[in-house]
Amino acid sequence: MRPTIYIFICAALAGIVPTADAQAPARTAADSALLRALRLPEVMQRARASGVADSTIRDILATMRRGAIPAGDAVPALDAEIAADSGRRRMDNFGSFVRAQVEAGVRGQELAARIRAEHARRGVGRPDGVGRPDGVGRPDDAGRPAGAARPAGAGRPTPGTAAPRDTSRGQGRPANTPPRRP
Amino acid sequence: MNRPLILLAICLSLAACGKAGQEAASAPPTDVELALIVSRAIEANIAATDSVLTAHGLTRASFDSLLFRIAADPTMSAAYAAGRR
Repeated sequence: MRPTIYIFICAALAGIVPTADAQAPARTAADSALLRALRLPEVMQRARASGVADSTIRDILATMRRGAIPAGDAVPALDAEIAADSGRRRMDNFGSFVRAQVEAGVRGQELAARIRAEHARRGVGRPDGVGRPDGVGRPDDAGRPAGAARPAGAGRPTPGTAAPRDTSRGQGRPANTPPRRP
Repeated sequence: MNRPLILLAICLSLAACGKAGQEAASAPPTDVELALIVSRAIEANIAATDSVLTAHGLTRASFDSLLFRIAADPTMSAAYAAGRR
């Protein structure tokens, strides 16, 4: 009896025996789109917070409504724009680009991919110079003066020289300290 | 002579007050509240999406419109985002 249980447990851990998750109905594309759609107001809120103009957001939403694009398809497009914003530069006339794509029939993930491609083409999301601009950062003569290196004995003690920590009692209280009484 | 009229007026006033209170108690949820209720229910059981929507008098299309309406409004978007955290 007991070996059978062990075999079953091992098989379940190895994924041989179907578990409850495996038996759950597969999520359809419509389900995924719906779950994305639930995020639409949050994504727009993040877009506003990241500096996308409210008028641009309204323009995009109106365009998508006119094009009968489901909310779930609007989310990837805005996600791509917000991702570009992390590079501190944003595509100019983003709204008109999205509108043109939508009116051309581009939807969903393909729309997001085209926005990312356009970002890459225009260099959006990447500052002009890699790293900090010239003159920003530590000046050439800053830092530790020459010859002011740390003494050889300073810093962390060599292993084995530190006093052993008393771990025999809890709360970090030394062994010779009497316990507190209330 | 006047007593029945006074009693009738009192009864009508009480009835009106009672109805007003009942309406206030069962006020419909705002757009954001409705969207939050529905979105939580859908996320809890996506297989029951259609029944959840129907229970709240929505279709997939009208729920989509509701989400667009909330997304277009900064105040409602912020309230929705806060409610989803």
